[in-house]
Amino acid sequence: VRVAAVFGLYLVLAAVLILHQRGRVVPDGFIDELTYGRVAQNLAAGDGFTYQGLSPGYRSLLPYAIAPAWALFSGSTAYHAALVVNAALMNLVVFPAYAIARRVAPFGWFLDDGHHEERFKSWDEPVDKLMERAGNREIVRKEIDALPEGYRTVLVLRDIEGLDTEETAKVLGLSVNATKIRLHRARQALRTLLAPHFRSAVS
Amino acid sequence: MKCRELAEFLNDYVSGELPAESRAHFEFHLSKCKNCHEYLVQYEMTIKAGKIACDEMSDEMGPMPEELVKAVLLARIKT
Repeated sequence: VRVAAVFGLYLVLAAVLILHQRGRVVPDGFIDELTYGRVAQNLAAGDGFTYQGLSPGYRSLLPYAIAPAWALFSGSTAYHAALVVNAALMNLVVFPAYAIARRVAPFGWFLDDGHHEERFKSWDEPVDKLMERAGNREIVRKEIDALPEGYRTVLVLRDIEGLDTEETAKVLGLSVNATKIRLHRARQALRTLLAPHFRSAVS
Repeated sequence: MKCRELAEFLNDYVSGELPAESRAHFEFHLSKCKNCHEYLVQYEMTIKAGKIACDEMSDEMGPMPEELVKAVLLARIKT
């Protein structure tokens, strides 16, 4: 109850402050701290995985959350104070979705030098051998079902029903290029979901 | 070419649509980077696994919904 009360007071204070400081309380740099939160929001909204854009809801929440830090401090101190608030917000509000996003994030993550963060461990057996077992085929179907609808649809039409890219694009009402990108993301997402099932350990 | 760029071109590479010059860069990177090679192998295995697993399901489920069939046929006619 105390935590909720303090958090509530914090939000009220933020709401008051932001009325006076609107437009200058959110340095754009903070947005870069929220990659996983952004992913989580997009997945939750059914928009699939994208790096582009924050959801309106989170964009409107963030200024209120960090406004007190920006008002009480100045310069780099305010920046660091706001980062702490930002981190707290991530943990309290976004972390559950963040954890899901970490699991579902289809690209894999990259280091600053452009290389993969993850070392990919081979799957235990060739795919034909894996798919001989009914349990494994069931796993694949379950993970396809777990994909966001947009990904699942394009994957089924293209890879399973065998439509070509142009046909798939027309069925979905998308451009050919958008269809190719969405299919690529869907395959990457499915690979990420399948990998833990078909390899002995993650290195 | 870095791993990040290679990941973005996988789709075109697998479907044979990557231009010759990009393909050469792509394959050079693959020859040097075991991790990307493994990623490509898994990407292709994923496509095949989905096909095998769902072919069985579509056999059991019977025909596709009529609306989807119409949409697919319409798309094919327009193509």
